[in-house]
Amino acid sequence: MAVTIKDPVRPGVNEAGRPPVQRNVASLVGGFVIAFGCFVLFLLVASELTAAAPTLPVIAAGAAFAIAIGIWIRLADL
Amino acid sequence: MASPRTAAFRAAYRSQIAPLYNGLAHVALIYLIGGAALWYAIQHIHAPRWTDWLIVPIAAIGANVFEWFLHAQIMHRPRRGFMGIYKRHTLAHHQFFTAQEPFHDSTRDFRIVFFPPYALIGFLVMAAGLAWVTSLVWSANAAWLLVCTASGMYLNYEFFHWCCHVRDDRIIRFLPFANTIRRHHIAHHDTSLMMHRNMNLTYPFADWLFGTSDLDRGLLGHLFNGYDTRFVKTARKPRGSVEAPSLVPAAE
Repeated sequence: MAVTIKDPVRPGVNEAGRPPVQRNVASLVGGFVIAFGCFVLFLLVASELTAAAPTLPVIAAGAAFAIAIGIWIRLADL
Repeated sequence: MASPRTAAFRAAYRSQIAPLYNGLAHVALIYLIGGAALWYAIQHIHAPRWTDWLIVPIAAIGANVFEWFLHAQIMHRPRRGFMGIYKRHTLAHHQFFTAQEPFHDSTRDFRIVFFPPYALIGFLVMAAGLAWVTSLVWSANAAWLLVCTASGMYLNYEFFHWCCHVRDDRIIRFLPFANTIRRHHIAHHDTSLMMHRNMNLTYPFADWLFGTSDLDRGLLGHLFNGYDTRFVKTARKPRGSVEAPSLVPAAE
């Protein structure tokens, strides 16, 4: 019976044959900075548009938007 | 056509761009943040006096000199604490874009054309600090006008820098200021010039002021130079590598 030996994965290369994704620490710090900046700007613009202090739903929406942007900055390694 | 060295660097750089990166989203985020800051500041300006408006040219000149200083002294100098900026600009941006091949090929190349969005946040924080001081010593209107000018100059910077690295110049070649900075910046990508010449990326005012331009002409000549190469200092002409093919007017 023939025996098939699977090629071992070479060091520095994943199973897809591509180098593993190595993200820069700058995108980690940048993700937090962008998230914070977007959150503040979101609240400022929202309070200006509604001419009132931001409500809880507005704050929650701002936080969700800011977190999404921050995560994308990290995943995109931007 | 890119040299083998440039082509190899571009291939290696592109292979490292994360799959989730999107160039249009990158640009949209920059203009969303800058536009929001600009809009918010405009809402707070009420019946400004003429003296308040004086902050606009002062802030614009200040931003121009700051842009020159940051480019010359941080982006092109390996300084402790700022090595990331030096590597990203001098070691990556200038290898990716040379005077012979200064153009990007796709929106994924925006990764190395535009600043990361957090640079804009940092710039806005600095502008906000200056605006706070301005509100104390000048007026609230002047402070908000300063924020408007700073935000506008940043967005102007990103647009003009893209104008320098986009291949299609059918419109840009006729746009005042944009055509000037396109020639100015592509010349800067010549390796013999990049460390000490043509450091402005919007309007070559500070380069004219500090004598770091590759042109030998006055301020108005600098600002409205366009693609004209007649005034390029003769000392650097023998290198002869800064005139990318697309900078030659189509009619000639």
